[in-house]
Amino acid sequence: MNTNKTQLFLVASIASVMVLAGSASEQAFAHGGQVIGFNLSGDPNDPPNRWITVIMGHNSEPTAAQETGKHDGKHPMELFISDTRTGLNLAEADLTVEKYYYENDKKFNKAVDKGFKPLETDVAVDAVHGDPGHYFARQILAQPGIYGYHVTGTVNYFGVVDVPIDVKAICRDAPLTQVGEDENGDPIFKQTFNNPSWFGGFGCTQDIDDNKFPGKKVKHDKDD
Amino acid sequence: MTFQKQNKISMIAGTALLTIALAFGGTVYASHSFEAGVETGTIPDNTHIRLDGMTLPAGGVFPLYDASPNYVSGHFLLTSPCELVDGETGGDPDNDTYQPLVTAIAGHIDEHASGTHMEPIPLFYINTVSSPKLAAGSDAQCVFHAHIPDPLNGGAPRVTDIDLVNLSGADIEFKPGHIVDINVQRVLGSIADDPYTGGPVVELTRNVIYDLNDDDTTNDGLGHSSQ
Repeated sequence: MNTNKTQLFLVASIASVMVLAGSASEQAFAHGGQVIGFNLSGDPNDPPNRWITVIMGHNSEPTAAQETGKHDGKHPMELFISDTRTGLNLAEADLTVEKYYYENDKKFNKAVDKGFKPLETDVAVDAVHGDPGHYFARQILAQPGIYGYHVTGTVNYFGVVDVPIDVKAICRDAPLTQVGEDENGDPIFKQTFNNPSWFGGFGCTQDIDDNKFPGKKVKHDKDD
Repeated sequence: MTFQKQNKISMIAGTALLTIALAFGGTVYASHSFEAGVETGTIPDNTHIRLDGMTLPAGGVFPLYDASPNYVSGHFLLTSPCELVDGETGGDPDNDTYQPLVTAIAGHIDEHASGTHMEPIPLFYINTVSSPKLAAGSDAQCVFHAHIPDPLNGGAPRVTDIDLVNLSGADIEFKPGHIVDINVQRVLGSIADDPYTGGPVVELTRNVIYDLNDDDTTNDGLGHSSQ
């Protein structure tokens, strides 16, 4: 009897490891970032001789909004901060984030005209314990839609200088704004929310049912 | 149940629990200055190279370490015959910082010249365990230490290769006690993803020497820790 119980426990343990390991490896990494130059002297007038890379996105992408009984919606805003030239992590920072949310394209475009206003300000961005260079603003994404973040503060560069940080971006699928025309008269579109030096992008937040297959609109033959 | 069968079950149980622990428990890091160290429960990779018995001719190169395509972080320790930094033969009490006769360089050596980038490693002279301090007047053996990479004090930012080169203009004869120890603690990335470009850059100058233990504060460097 005991032998059978032990074997069952072992099978369950190993199966748990395999399932959890599999789900961890399925997490996509759709993030964007900014490179921030500075001088070791700390004088902003001196030309940059060092650079910091700040990568921003949501933890555990692709993200889906919380829905009772289906998905917990836990997707912290996360940062990975490192020395650009060496790849060494930067483990000390004093950062906060302003958080923006728009339900749909129409509401986002309205904000483009009237100005972007954060829903929450001065939200703490904390270091992830045991993982230097990795930072979280913990949250549960409550609704599908367009999320944006503006992170400010300082990152300590290996005990020598505090580097001012200003990273601002909206999720990738937010609509672009026409900012002019090229020499052929074709419209030029730009994401006006983002800082000019932002590169890449992170995904907007979906309804947990959006990726279901077959989806709601698939109708089966009545004879089946 | 037989004794053998009980052992087998214990071994399987141990393996399963160890697998769980390794999969989900091993992500705690130490951190001081710019060195992140290794993950808890992980032993760093260490390479210990005896130099005794080797004569490196003028202009000679002695490759020590090649982690390509990975660029890595860690420590570098060298004991070498040495001389005063300014080339004097001693006697000046205010001039007590030594440099190795041999030059340590690091960076990346690529099969494409354009991707090659090697620079001297900034070295910290450790006088407390060097022969000029231990045996007055002796320049037989000095101890030097470096951080790989050193984002504050210079050197190549991404290191896959470490070599010794003889820029002294004469043969260097290594004796017992002369060694190199390279302790690699972490892989920072792949040189394939972050290549050097516009090379070759091969800076063949003597190592810059920092000394935290003399009266001169201008040669202390930046970001040093007591670790």
